[in-house]
Amino acid sequence: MKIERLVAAGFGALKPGLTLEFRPGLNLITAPNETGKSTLAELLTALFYGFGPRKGGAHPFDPWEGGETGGELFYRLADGTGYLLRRHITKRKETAELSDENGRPVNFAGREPGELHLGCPRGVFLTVARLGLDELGQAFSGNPGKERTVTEQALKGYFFQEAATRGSVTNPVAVRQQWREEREKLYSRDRRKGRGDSGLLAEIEKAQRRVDAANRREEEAKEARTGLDGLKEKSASLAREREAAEEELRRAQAALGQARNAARLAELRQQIQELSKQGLVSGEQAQSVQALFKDARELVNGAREARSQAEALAAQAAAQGLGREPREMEMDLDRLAGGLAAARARQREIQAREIVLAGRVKDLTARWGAPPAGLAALDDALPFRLSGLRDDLTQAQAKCRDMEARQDQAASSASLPPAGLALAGLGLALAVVSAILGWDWWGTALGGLAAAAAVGWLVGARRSHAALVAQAGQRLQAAQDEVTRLERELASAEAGLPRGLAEAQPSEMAAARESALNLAQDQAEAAQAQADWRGQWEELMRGLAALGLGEPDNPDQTIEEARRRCRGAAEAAQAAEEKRRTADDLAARTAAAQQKADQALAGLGANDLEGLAQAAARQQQVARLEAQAAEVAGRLPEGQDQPAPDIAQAEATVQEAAARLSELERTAREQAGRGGELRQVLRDLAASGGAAAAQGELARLEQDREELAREHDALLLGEALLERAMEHFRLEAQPNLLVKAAAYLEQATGGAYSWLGADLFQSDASKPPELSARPGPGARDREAAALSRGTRDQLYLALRLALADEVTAGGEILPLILDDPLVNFDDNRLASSLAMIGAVAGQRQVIMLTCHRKQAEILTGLAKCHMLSLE
Amino acid sequence: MPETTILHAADLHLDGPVAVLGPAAAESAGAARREVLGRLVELAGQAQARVVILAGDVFHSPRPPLSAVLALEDALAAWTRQGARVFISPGNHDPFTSDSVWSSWRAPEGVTVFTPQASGEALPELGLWVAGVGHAGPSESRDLSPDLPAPPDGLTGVAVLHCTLTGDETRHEPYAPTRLERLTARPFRVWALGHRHMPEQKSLNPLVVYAGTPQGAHLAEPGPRGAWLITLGGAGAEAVFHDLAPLVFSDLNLNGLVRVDTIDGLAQEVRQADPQAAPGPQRELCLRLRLHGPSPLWDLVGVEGEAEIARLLAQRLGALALVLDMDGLRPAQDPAELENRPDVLGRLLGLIRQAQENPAFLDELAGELAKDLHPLHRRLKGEESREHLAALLDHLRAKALRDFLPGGGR
Repeated sequence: MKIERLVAAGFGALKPGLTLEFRPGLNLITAPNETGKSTLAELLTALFYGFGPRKGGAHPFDPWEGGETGGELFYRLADGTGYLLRRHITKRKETAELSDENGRPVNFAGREPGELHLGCPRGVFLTVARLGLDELGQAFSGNPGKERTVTEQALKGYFFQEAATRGSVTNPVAVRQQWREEREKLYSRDRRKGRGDSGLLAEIEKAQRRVDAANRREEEAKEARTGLDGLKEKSASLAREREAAEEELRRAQAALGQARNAARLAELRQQIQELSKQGLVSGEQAQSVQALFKDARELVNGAREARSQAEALAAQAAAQGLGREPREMEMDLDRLAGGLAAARARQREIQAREIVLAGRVKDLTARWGAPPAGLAALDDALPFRLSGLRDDLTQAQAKCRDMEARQDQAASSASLPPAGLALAGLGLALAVVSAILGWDWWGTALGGLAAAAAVGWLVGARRSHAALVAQAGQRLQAAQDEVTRLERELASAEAGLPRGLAEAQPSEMAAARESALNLAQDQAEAAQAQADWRGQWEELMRGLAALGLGEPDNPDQTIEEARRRCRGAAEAAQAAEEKRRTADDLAARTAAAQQKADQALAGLGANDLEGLAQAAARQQQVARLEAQAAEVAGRLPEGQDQPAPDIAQAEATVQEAAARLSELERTAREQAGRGGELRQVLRDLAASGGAAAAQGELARLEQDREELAREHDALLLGEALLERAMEHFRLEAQPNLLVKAAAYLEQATGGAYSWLGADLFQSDASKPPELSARPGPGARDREAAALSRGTRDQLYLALRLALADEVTAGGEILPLILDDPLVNFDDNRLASSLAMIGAVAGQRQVIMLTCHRKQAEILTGLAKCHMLSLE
Repeated sequence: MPETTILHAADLHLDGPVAVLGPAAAESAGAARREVLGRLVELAGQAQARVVILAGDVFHSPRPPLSAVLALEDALAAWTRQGARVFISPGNHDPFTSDSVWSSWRAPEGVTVFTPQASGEALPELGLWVAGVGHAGPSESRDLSPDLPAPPDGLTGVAVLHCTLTGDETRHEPYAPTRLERLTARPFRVWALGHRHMPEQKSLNPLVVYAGTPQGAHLAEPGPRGAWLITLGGAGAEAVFHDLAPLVFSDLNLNGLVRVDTIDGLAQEVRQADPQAAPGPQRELCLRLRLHGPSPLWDLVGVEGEAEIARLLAQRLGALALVLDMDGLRPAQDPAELENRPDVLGRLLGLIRQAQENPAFLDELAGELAKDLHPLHRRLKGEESREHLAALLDHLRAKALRDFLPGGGR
């Protein structure tokens, strides 16, 4: 871009209407202080980016000499297109217009014309295109706040990470930090870090303990194995001993058995002999005698039983006959039964009569709306009194209606007689006509008299009519009072009467009363009949009680039951008699049977049946003993039943052998238990996998730690190499910005400084870049803050020029507006710097503003300058 | 002779470690040796093997822990219950010495442990003669094969030996060295060998078989591991390998991943590179995968992160444990181009290369960092220290690229 013309409408110290025609290359404006050089630079900036807000109602750059604030600028872009930009401040707002050189308006759509055509925001423009003395000493310009932030964001990339990585790899600083963190997680001397290694060490320690434990188990198992082998030998020896002991026991038990059998045989024979001495009876004989005795006992028992049954039947007959002779008793019962039947018939008759009476009560009550008792209680004169009252009331009501008619007649008759009225009118007319016509006085008097007489007649008639009406009213009132009195009296008489009764004729009412009285009489008679029946019934009950039957709820059933009992008693008495006869017959047969049995018993030599049974039992026992003796004798070796061995000795030998065997078995069990324990130890070992598995786990963990150590060391080595790579890059492979800036700096300082650098890998990217310069290869860096003011200004001037090159590379080249930035330069540096500016003017339009004639002289001597004046 | 099935296993290393690739595999690795022993028992039972041969290194050490001895005893008891005769020839890890487990151990009935004095045992009911010899020490240098007694007439010879065949030497000294032709010259129908951990048939007639270890110990022992069932009959001998290892290792280096840009694609590459690298119904996969060279996967690392990629890949492959080493992975750019970048990353990559190429520079760094190294490495001096740092540089380069070029530097 090249600025071609500026017209100031009014802006600070600039004179209104000031017009400046700029040219490509170097434009030089030399003017003393207070003539508007900086204001011109400000106006150029403001036209592109806006004037900014007013302060206190006025803009800081309102024209000193009055007039409109603003101006217009014509510029041409690299593609040759020209644009006219107008911007002014009115009292109400700021206006900006942009049009092409043909006058066609250009829509810059919410952006500032500077952003549209210069391609950068205001802060970047201030940083790289408009430089004043105050701008130097820092990397970036622009108002603090958002503008500065935007500027830094736009330009920092040219300094640091973006440049260092060329945008295609991860930030080396981040990688270095990541590697360090990874490494310190793996292992660190700081115990708070390095959890990986410490964790593995702990696991290795545990694994080592598991290996030790496994080894201990191995040792235990080896001991168990040895113990088990020893146990096997002991077990074999024990088994042999046990076999011998078992054989010994078997022999002893056999000898003991023989001794016991011989002794048992002798004992059995002895018992047989003793039993034979006591006498023996065969089973058949004993059974025969016992059968005879049994027959005799059965006869005795039969007689006893028949007698007992006879007694029981007699007792039953007595009990059923209630202590009386059954026939007499039955007759009494028949009599009572007849009485009961008669009483029941009478009861049914009474109940029928009561039903009829109840029907009559119901009819009367329904007919008259009052119970019979109430009807019977009526006064016998009441019907006639009610009839009289009703007749009187009827007459009084008729009289009352007559009085009303008379009163109406009196009231409706005319109160003034028409003749009187006619006379009065005629007299009055005569008097008037006479007066009008002027007749004689008498005519008038006659007329007057006639009128007066007529009036007097009318007044008398009126009074007489009023008296008649009042009299008729009094009579009507008396008749009405009489009606009222009779109605009250009738109502009083009818009070308490049912409606039917109250409306009944006197004869009907009297008949009702008569019926009620008759009904009461019948009811009284029925009650008496009921009382009589109840006495009759109680008499019958007493009869039953006298027979010992109590007062039953159902006398008929009780009587019938008593009849059955009487018949049963008779039958029982008869049966008892028969049983007695049977008992007497059996008693006679018993004696013969007993005698026969006694004779049979004596024949067998027994005193009684018990002795006979004992002899038979002995016979059976002898038979059993002989069988046992035969069995025992069969178990004894032939020919050895005579000498009886010593049982006690045999038993002692058996006990001794058994104890020995028991001891050996106990020992065997103990050994088996111990063997089980040892085998369990071996099984546990086998199940645990032994030391090899634990050793394998330990080896794996140690291998893991070795891997961890290798990874750690690789990262450590990586950090070291990366550090070297970064430093190498910082020193020797700077971004274009710093290379170009170094070239400018070398030119500006006349070769005093040939290298300019920044901390490319500064981790805190939020801070401004720290610049440094180096006098020559191999020299130490000098930080910008440590340089002289002049050199520092040159350093930043060089940086800004380089930034402009980088920012506009491939885009619109920005003009360079220099507002006396070289005041701190010494003569040599000034000349060098002005030469550099002259060279820059070959690449971009330069507008140099200065108050120093010397600078202007040097500059005009170095390059072709287009001189401009603010006058 | 009746047809007989022989179970041939070796190098059980019962008390030996199995490398653990991460905590997820710790339990499986700890139990793997015993698990495979149980599978050997099961296999013998299913095949109705009448002879079981353990050709050396049953134990990892001469005096193994008792738990390992007990595990073996359980297996021996099971085999003998199945009616099999068991023959054990001590190897270099568990030689038959006066203080080793074998001298104090009483072999159960039906189990023969060969001593350093070669011997043979006739199994007339099977028509077999089983001969063997144990190592006399941890570095047996004799060729033991000539000592084995030849089978008597009418019996078929089976030789059991823990030995190194010429050409199969490992980094160790060859133990009990011998030559294949010496073995084939002897009158044995079967040579059941141990020591080499990779299962291999060296000869068909006579049958010379290295059983291999039934469970790989680490990534250097990848692929299926197990034992052989040898069928011996009138027609000859035939050996069939059975994959038994509960944990199978796979150690893969993948390069040329220029077209692989997804985890599924990477899983496909792994399956193609090692078809055996797959879990099975009875085996888990432990995989170490090292990626090299430029690949679009670099972009994926920037998006997902290395740990997440490892997790997802393990999920795709069904791997129990996966160690994913992406230190060799590069973005699509040319490495030289990366080092010439005019920025800090370029400088850093240049310095890493300088450290790799210039020992003096590495010494300078070692001196500078010595006091800040991890305690495990702080005492390293001179050559050791330099080697230690040099071993970190590839990893450091990868980390620098990842951290400086998020999303592959796009």
